[in-house]
Amino acid sequence: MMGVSTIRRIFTTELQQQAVRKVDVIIGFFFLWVPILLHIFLWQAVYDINGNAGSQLGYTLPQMITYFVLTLMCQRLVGVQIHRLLNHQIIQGDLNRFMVQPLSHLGFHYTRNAAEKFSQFTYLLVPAAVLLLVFRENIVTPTVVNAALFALALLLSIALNFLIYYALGLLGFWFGRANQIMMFATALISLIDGSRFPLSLLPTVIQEVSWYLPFQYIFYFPIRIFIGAETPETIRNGLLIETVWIVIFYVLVRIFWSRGLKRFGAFGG
Amino acid sequence: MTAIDVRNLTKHYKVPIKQPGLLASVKSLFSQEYEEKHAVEQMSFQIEAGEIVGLLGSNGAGKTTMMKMLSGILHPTSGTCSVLGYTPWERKQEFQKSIAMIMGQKNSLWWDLPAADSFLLNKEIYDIPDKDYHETLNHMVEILDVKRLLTTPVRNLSLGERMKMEIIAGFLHQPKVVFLDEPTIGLDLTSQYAIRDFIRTMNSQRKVTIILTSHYMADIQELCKRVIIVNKGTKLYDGQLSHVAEDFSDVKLISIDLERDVEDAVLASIGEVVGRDVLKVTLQVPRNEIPQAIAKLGSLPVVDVNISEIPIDRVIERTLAEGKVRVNQ
Repeated sequence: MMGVSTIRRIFTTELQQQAVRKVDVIIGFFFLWVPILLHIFLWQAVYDINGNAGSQLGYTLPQMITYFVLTLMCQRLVGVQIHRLLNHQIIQGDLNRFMVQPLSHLGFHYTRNAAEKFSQFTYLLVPAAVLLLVFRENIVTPTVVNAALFALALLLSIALNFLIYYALGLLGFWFGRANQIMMFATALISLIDGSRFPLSLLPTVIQEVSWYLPFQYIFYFPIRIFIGAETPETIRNGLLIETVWIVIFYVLVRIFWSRGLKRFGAFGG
Repeated sequence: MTAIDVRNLTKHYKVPIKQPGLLASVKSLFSQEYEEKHAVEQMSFQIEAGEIVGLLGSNGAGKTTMMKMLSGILHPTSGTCSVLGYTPWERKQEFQKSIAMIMGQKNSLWWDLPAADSFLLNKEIYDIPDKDYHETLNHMVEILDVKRLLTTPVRNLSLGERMKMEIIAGFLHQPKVVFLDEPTIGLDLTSQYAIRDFIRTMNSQRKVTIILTSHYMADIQELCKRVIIVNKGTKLYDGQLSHVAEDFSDVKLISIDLERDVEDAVLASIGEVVGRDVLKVTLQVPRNEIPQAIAKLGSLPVVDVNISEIPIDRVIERTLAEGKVRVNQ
């Protein structure tokens, strides 16, 4: 286990590393107004043509627009590249460092990810507020409780998402260069994590199954809380299931890691 | 005291083999054939605390595999190994805290930040007390003369400067055993000298046990009294460097490209012809005869000239050929 002072040092060092890219991140975020406008026009048109589209799709027009605006924003806050990095490290033998130093690979990268997300959050807070304010006519204003629960669900989804993609990257121990497998898996996940469209547009069967899978908790669930589409009961259950999945993936990742390392030790990097 | 004790260490890999071509690629999807590669074979040696030992061998001889087993990265197929009383591949924390592995071609520093930040992280990882940290750091920074570079982002450092920082990062926790894999590769001469000096100082002042691989004979000659020569995974020689390389320190290689063919006798009058591929000729010339040799080349149809140190591969080849090497287990 890593000591608190090590975690603190990794965290602050990553904050400094992130600060180098600060301007780029903020400017990139501001350009979100382009896709946001696109969604506003698109959904206004859809809802205009078919007057009762709202009831058919299960969302009001502001809810629908907010859903897509938030997926764009949350992807910046939650998305990771750890699977690519890890796969690369396994192939290139860059894991050596973590086998020679008393430093946990998962702990190191998890802490870095936490710091990265934290700094992104602080940089993006103002631009996000500005964007939400500019488009306030078109989007849902959440209740304070929903906003707080959304924040909590998003925190959990940052952890869950990291562990899922970390596990994906570990496949490199068995498959070597796994770019295609990872791309396929990522595409599959994006279909059922709610980042492309609300899952309520899918057949009921898939929705029901998806409730017990980890993926919808990455984007779909937190955003539904924000737009007020979940009930207190479903929120409670959802948060519980999400937490269970975090524990499951943590255990899975530990097992994959130690098995993978044995293989790595036997085959060489 | 014995720092490293290696007995019958053996490492076999399975490497997938694939014939060239698309068809073969498709076939390999269904039935993958493996070839067993014997990277290290029944290797045994002991190294005393405070020694610097050079591990010599051509590419693929098993040097890096050996280093990886000693540092705990790889499991051996069979055999035993003890480093400071630990079995490396169990990767105990106390073991990891008393060794370091520095690889010339890897970067372990934070790219966008000054090296000082990476050092601070190492301070936490290895639990280095404040006082030791500052003392060790200041000392090393002075020897390598990099004080003014401590605040420069790593990405703005030259290769030589970066390597110096890598080496400081590796020695910061005062390891008792250090594995140095090609620490001077690709560096300019000044940096090579500085790093060589540093290694020598660490060894003499702190009694650090060091295993070193290098492509530069000069590194080995300057630093190692003892060398272990490996070839195809087996140990060929283990003993005094002076026994194998006495006559290599004062010779250089002159490689020339000729415009047209020249008689062997003419070339032989300049130096010993050690390699000839039609118009590409390699001559071995004593260091003090280099000026005369160059002068003589002036009368030949020479297109290009290159003067270099004798590469380690050639040292090994020649020692093998001359039968100087005895296999001593």
